[in-house]
Amino acid sequence: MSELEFPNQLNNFLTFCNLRNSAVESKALDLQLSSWFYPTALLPLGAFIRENRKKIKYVPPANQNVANYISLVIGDLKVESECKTYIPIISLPPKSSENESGKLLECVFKFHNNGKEYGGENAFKYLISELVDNIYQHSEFRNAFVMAQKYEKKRFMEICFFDDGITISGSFAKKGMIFEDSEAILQAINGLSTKGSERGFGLGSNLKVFTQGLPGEMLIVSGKGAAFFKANEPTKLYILQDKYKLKGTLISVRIPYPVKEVDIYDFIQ
Amino acid sequence: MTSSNRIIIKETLSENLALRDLASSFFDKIEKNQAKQVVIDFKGIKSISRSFAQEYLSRKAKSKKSISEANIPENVEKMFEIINEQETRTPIIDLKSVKVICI
Repeated sequence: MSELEFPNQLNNFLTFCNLRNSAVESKALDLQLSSWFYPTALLPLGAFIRENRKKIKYVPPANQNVANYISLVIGDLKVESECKTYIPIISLPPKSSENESGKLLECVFKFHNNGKEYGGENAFKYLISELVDNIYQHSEFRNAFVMAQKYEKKRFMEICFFDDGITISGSFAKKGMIFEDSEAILQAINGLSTKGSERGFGLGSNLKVFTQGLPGEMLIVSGKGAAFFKANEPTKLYILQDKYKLKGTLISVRIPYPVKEVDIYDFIQ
Repeated sequence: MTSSNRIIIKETLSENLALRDLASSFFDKIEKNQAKQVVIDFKGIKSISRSFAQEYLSRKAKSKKSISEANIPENVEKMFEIINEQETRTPIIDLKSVKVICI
């Protein structure tokens, strides 16, 4: 990848931002010419469509297959068939009903055959559990969603989590720790916690398992900051203009498959 | 000890111990229990997150009850060991090597 090229996941996020900005300006989300979306674009786009159904006209893609896919994915449908290659956009239950969150996790685990092709059951469940737990612990979300898509020919899956909460820097700021959005992401990865010295190991350990163990790729976008992580590549930190600001936090992970069993204890602190 | 003091955690929660708040609410229930000695049976547990394990051990340490474990699977045991033997935190990202890009 050249210096000027952005990682695929970041490009997909920027696609979402451009569509969102155009829709806000014109009061119409025009997807007529759109041919495909990865979850990194489709998850925040789906959340945007849901929130603005009454305010913004939605023009679906001209390609009927793409239009059907989008309407299925954003429709909050339950996964009824194990043959599907995607998990549609599913809302995370509010904090007050964590038992429901357990059911959601079971749904994600089952869809991915308990992670047997993604580094093994123990690794996969650990990774997904920690990401969902982070959202509950820190984001103070009003809405939070998960979505996943398998790409069988390309041999990877992409799973995304999006919450419209206070962002990572916002969570630090509530405890008097002031960082720019992009720096806050790195601080969180490196273990700074708003909840004491025993805490703050989750995101960093997760990143190590994802990028070094599997090895996958991870994009984190929060407010006006973004960071991209891939094994054997320097971390890329992005300072975003206002037009690319995300109200909340998006975590996008690409995991190749099949991946042999990963011993997560080599990576967890 | 009576059998009522043995709690099969899989039946109370799930075979996957994922969320910190679930560990917390699990201990809230234990604290309301009259028994002074409690055995947590981990039979059938498939996975445990670090967050769940950390909250479990933290609440156990604070509890005035005598709490012990039975049938702990190897993966749960390893996670408990990591938390109990927590060493100095090592930064994951070397901040000097980070490339900063404005978009």
